[in-house]
Amino acid sequence: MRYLFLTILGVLVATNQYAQELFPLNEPASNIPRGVLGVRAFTESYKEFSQFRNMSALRLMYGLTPKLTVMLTADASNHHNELLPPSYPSHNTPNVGVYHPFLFNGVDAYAKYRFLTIDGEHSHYRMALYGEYSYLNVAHDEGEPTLLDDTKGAGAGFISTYLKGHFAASFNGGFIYPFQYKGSIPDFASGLPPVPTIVTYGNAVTYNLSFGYLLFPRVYKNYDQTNINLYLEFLGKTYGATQVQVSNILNPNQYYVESTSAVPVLQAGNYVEVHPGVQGIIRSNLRIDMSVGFPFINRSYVHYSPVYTLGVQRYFYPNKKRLPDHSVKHT
Amino acid sequence: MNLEHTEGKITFTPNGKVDISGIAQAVKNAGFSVRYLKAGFVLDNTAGTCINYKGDTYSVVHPTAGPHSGTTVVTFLGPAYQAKKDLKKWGSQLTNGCGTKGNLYYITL
Repeated sequence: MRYLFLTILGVLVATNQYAQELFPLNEPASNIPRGVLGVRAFTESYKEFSQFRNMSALRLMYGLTPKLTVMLTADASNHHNELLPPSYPSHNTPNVGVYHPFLFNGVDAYAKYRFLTIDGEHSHYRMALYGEYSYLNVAHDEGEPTLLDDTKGAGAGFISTYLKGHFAASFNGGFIYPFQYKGSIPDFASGLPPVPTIVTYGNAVTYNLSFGYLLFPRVYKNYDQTNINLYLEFLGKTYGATQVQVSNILNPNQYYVESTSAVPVLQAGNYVEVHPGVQGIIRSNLRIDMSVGFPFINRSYVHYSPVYTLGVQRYFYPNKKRLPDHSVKHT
Repeated sequence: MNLEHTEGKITFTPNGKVDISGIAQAVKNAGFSVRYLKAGFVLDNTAGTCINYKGDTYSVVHPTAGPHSGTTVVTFLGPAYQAKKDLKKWGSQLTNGCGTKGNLYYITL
């Protein structure tokens, strides 16, 4: 028996048809292909009175196995100063409209494991679990914990994504366990050293709902076609109250709890934001997305609105083998 | 690649050995699922339920009357090569009576 020159392979879903689930702000349950390296640069900006606030980050993503993707993100921003605000927490909380230097914040590690895959023709339903750990040490003066940029800590959750034709919907649910921040408040008496302070942030639950729609092309012909996707994402969070402990000037090893009852940004809170966005994917690899965020239910105190985000992402294939032209031909 | 119907066609050099299981695994590695996998063979007076080729074993399920000659499209059976709903029809019939030389593939002619 001999092989003919032809093998016909039917694939359940083609790459481009996942484009509408590549949400700008939330991860879908799908993974990066095994052995593929992704690089994403993204930035978030908003106006805070006379100050222009910006957070910029670089993310590396890698498909360890077909079901496991890992990511490492480093970020910098001018959201925080090196010390907590003067007279924190009773005054200057949050410290708005004040110049902050652009500082390196830290790194965030993320892993996502896809445990459920139900694939159909032009559709799929997938679920994944994720875990996250961030290490940063910044003087975050609001109570809301955020693992990238504001608070070090750990988090985990699940992702559920459904795709049908040109439409995708995804839900991300999880929790954040922020670690304590040990920093200092400038002493009101000049010449004295700053006052050691311990900030214990409340835990948080996150709930994000994302919708995506593949606007163009209407019919796929080849991988060189540019994709245009529209997105609408809702970001929600409920978090607990923050406790602030300040060192006793007479006994530095002893801390006393400062009252935060009159400080709204340190109380328990909840909100939902809405972020419409648009995305272009060029030649099935270079991805550029933009979104803008507004309060929908209550508001977040860690930023002002509108919040503008911009992301650029590309995949690299370090394990791709170059084959001689006469060996295999793909069509 | 036919993106409209999510079908891919791979052409190999004649008389070469092809790693069918490797092709299916490459699809899984990319994050997708195999809906079906068919291959074209040029058969030369082939009959029976067991075919050995290039060191691999092909167990023919529900063989049609042979011998077979000329171009024949075979369909690969099994969890790595079929969607779950199609596998249900064949699952209980994938029993090997051909020995285990090289890779074992279940096919229909």
